[in-house]
Amino acid sequence: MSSHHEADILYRALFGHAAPAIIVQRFGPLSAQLEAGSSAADLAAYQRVLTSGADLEALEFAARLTSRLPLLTRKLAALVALAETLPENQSVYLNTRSSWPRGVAATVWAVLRSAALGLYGLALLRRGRYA
Amino acid sequence: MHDVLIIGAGAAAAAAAFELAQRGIRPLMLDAGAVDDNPTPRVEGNLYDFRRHHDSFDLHIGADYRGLAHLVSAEPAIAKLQAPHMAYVTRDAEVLGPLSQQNFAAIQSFALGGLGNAWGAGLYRWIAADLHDFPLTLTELEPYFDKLTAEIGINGAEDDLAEFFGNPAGLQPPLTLSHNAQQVWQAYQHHRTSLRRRGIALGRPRTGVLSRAHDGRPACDYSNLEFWQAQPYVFTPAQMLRKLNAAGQLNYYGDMLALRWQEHADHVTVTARRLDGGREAQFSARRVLLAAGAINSARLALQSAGDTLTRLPLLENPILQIPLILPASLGRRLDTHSFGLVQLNLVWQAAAWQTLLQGSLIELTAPLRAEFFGRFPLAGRSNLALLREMLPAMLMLQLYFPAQVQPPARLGLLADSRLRIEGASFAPDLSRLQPLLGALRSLGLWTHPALIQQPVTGHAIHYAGTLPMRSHPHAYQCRPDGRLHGSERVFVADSASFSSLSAKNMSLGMMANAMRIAAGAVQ
Repeated sequence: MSSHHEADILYRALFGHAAPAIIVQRFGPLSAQLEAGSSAADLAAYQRVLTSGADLEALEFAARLTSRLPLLTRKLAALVALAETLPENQSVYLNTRSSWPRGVAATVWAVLRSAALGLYGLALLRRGRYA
Repeated sequence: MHDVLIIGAGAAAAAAAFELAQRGIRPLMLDAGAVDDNPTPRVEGNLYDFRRHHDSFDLHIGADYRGLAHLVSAEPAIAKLQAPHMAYVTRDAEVLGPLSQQNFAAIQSFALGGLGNAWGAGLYRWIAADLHDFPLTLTELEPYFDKLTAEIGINGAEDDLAEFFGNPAGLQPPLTLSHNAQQVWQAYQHHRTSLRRRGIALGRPRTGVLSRAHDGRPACDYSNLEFWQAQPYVFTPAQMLRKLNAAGQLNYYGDMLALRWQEHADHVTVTARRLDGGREAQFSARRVLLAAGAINSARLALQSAGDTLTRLPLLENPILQIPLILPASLGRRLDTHSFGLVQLNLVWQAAAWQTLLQGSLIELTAPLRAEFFGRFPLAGRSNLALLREMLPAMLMLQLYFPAQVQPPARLGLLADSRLRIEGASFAPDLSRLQPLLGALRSLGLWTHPALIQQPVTGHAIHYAGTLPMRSHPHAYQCRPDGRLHGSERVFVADSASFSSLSAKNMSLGMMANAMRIAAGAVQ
């Protein structure tokens, strides 16, 4: 799979749309560095996940909770960092308007959503035998 | 023949040179001397104004992805040292000072100014309790603390921590607190009596950060940029060395790696390797001050003796990192105009460890938000949402333990010229933290033991005690005046000479002691 396609799939899992060209360009060499530091088993498991078409967010979360698929977690974290350096993404990362109710609601929603995704991800992991 | 030769160019070396300059002595300084040569233009103004209008890839990550080294290598990393502008601080360290480590993660610098280029500039006076195991008294150090306070411009306040941080005379006013730190400070005023009864005190830190313009340097501009590039209002040893060099009070030789010394009846010969060509050169001086840092001063002592058998102690402050959430600040906008490092200090008389612990409450406004991605036990998009809503409501407590809570690491020279460091695992029983966590709750700060991080020993970068000061020293120990056992002309001027290491940041004590040693050496 090309690093362009890979960046697109991962970026979409987190941000809901295709990766900007500058992110794709920067992700390529970084992805290679991350893979160079991974074991063959980790790399194979990662590639199976990527081509599976499964819900990557759910899989990654369940894998993180169970200490599996470390390369997937590191690549998503790398994309999150690359994305933060772009001016157009600042509203994703930075809260510019104070609202305690919104903060509480966002926290509660994040917990509930994660609980559901975690269960779904664990089922996917069991079914897919990714790692 | 030089009068005084200083090996190293970190905080201790700078302080020794400063004291010698005041006595009209121009020392020769040998140093590898890497300098900041990052081609990326400096960012002016505020970090977040910059981020809103410019691509910050070069500032935060860099073309070689240095800012994401923790993801690539999965090794523990100091966030501030990962900044692309800080690359020179640790450049070639593994080549110039090769190490073999177990249960220890020493970080070395061979840059002009040493690791002080990337420090938080915590500069705390010692009190008598900090010198409990030292064969010297506070009175011997006080004049040097006074001189450093006046020269550097240290901010702080006369508050509940003055009894731990010493004489507040000559301090600049404290920095303006961030919103979160202000909330905590107000809560502390409300619960102060009860907290003091529980052995917990809170107060303003002592940092070498200017709250008012001083000595041609500007006051802090609350830009959050001190995390990402050198800012003139944050004191560094490199500033002091450059000032001495410009005034002709220092004879600085960069590109020189000191290898060993040999002592003669009336002088010492130091052999160094030129880094530009690899040839060896020799320098002679009447006195030599070792100030290469606790690890490399010990390396020099072992190399000079050709000793691959002896194992020396190495002290370090174990630390815990405790993320803290202020629920009342949830959903608050990010405090983009703030000082991005230590806001408040905490001192805890911890009965469970029968010792004083010191903590730094650090703002999280400066690092990339992405640095915390995955730290919450939540799914990816939910993590992103929480970074936005919760990080502006968080502080980090970095809790320092005195070195005595664990056996010292052991350091020895291997036949292949690497230094072998074997540390002891630090595994504190976190249930002993309950009194502290309870006190933090009364300040409106919440956490959970599962969120507490325990970096590998070496992370505090407070290395000391490899050639300790004793009243009656043995081999590889030094006398109270700094002279190494068996030597008349070689003095240990850096933290290698520490007899013990309290939980307090050691930098100012190390600098004052270096001045004392330098003054004694030339008397």
